[in-house]
Amino acid sequence: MLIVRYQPRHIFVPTGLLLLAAAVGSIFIGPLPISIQQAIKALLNQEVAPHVSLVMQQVRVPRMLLCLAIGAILALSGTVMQGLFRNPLADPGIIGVSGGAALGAALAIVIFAPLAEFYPLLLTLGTVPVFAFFGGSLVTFLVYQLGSNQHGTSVAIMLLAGVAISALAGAALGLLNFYADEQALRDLALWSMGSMAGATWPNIALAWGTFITLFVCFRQDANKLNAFLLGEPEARHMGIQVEVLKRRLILLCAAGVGICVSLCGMIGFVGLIIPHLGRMLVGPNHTLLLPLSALLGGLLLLIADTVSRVIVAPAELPVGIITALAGAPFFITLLFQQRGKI
Amino acid sequence: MLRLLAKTPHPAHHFNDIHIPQAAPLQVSHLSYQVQQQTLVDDISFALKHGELCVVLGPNGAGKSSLLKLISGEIGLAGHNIRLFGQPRDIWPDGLLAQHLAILPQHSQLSFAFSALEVAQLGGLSLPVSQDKIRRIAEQNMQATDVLHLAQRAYPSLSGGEKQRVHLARVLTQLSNANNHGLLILDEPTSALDLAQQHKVLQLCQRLCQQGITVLMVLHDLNLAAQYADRILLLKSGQLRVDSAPTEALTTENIEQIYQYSAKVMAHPELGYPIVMSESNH
Repeated sequence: MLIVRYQPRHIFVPTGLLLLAAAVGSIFIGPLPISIQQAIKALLNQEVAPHVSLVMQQVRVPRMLLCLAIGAILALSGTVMQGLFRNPLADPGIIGVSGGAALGAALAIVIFAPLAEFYPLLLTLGTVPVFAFFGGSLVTFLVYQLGSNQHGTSVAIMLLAGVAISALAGAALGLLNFYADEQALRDLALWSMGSMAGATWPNIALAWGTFITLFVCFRQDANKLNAFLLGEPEARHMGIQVEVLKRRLILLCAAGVGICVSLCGMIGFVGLIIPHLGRMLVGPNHTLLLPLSALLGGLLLLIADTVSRVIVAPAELPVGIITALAGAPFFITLLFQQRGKI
Repeated sequence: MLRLLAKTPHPAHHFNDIHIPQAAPLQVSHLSYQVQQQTLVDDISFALKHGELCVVLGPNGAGKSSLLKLISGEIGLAGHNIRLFGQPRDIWPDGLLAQHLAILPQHSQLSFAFSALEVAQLGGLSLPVSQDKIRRIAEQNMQATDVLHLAQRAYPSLSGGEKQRVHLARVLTQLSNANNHGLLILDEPTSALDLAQQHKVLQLCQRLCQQGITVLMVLHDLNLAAQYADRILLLKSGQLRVDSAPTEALTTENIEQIYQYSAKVMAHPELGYPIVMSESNH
């Protein structure tokens, strides 16, 4: 099998253009028909009908920005986790990290519900993401410890641990629903529908801040992550402080997934599909794979979200349903390919 | 989880210049290692000379792998029992050590579709040179290990022996900045190779030694060791029983004592090194 590597710019330029087209397209497409002229006027703050201006400035543009950041974070976390586990089936959703983060987020919503009335931002930007982060990192450490031995990571144990942890998180979420008071219940229901509808400017700032932080940190570790694919002892022999690297990457991934889950609920499979697509285009080298994953992740989520808005308009499907419809068959195909190794 | 959170030591202090002319590339003194009251390495001492090709031999479970892992730092805390180029192992900064000590493991877990050249280039991770330079070095080393024609092949699609030689090119790339202060450790490098490739790898190791790199390897094939080694270490039950040149190390008595097997040892008719044969066929 020969490896043909394209010039990076032959991949990145078209992807970037596609992303730009999708971003522009997504703000013109929606249940409310808005002509292109009106839309541009609304964006430039010129005189238009108030509902047009409202939809453009408060709904479609913020939502597009949130999609880009969340998609990129999910894709980056998936890429790094697959590298860390040295396994192409690792995905925050499948191995239970999203479940752990969701449990953390729900816990925060229930505990801090009495405060939500007075400090709404504290809840959405403070306690919920922090709890989601702790839930996510706990699960990642647990799954890594369960699934890895001196010969690498065991896919079977990793996936089974994911099943068990997701089930546990689901049960605990159910219990929380049962015990939550009315206010908390409302918040929980709203949150667990998991959509990009909560695109407020503070949320967008948090998402973009997280994305930029993750991207900068991951880029610095890209070469080390390449060496890590050889195995832990090999990476150690090449001068990498393996334990430090592992801990840092796990915490960063958990932070990324935790913030995504707390802002938009569980959106599966982006972290699974995108790294594969990226590797097909530029190979497993993380210095190229990470930026490409960020672009492709934003693109995928943007398209999925646009579809979710128009397909049953004026109602809206949760975007997780669209990504799952695309991702689950993909995952099954991967399982077929890996059958011999599990 | 506790293991992940445990602090890793940060030894960046008291590190002197490594270019001490007389310092042995590797000095092991009174090294022992126990796991659950079982002694795997028992008070081993030896020092390698510059440019020496040293082969470790011994029956299964003799402690060969443990010895290599102690030297590479994978297990145990070496303390001051292991010195590399005059400096205790544990005060070497990680990045610098990687430029002087490279290890070729028996197996690698890599399953992602890097090309063979990309794998060889990974060895340049801690080198302070440009990517282009690393690529050229990696290609030279792939030439030396006879895998340059596979450069664009997908690593996972290579055979075991080809993978092994790609990794050899990788560790050579890692040592390319060592300036005569390189120690290469190989754990059964010939296990997946055919006859011709086994000899090619050993001949390459000999050439490396002439270029000033010191080589320590574990082998199972006594004859391969006899033909190429400058020095042989015979291990049994964690102890270093014999430490000498091939002709003195591989005698009928030593083999009987170490392997509990009677062998016949002859001298090669032209080259003089010992040849080990089975004594009987029952």
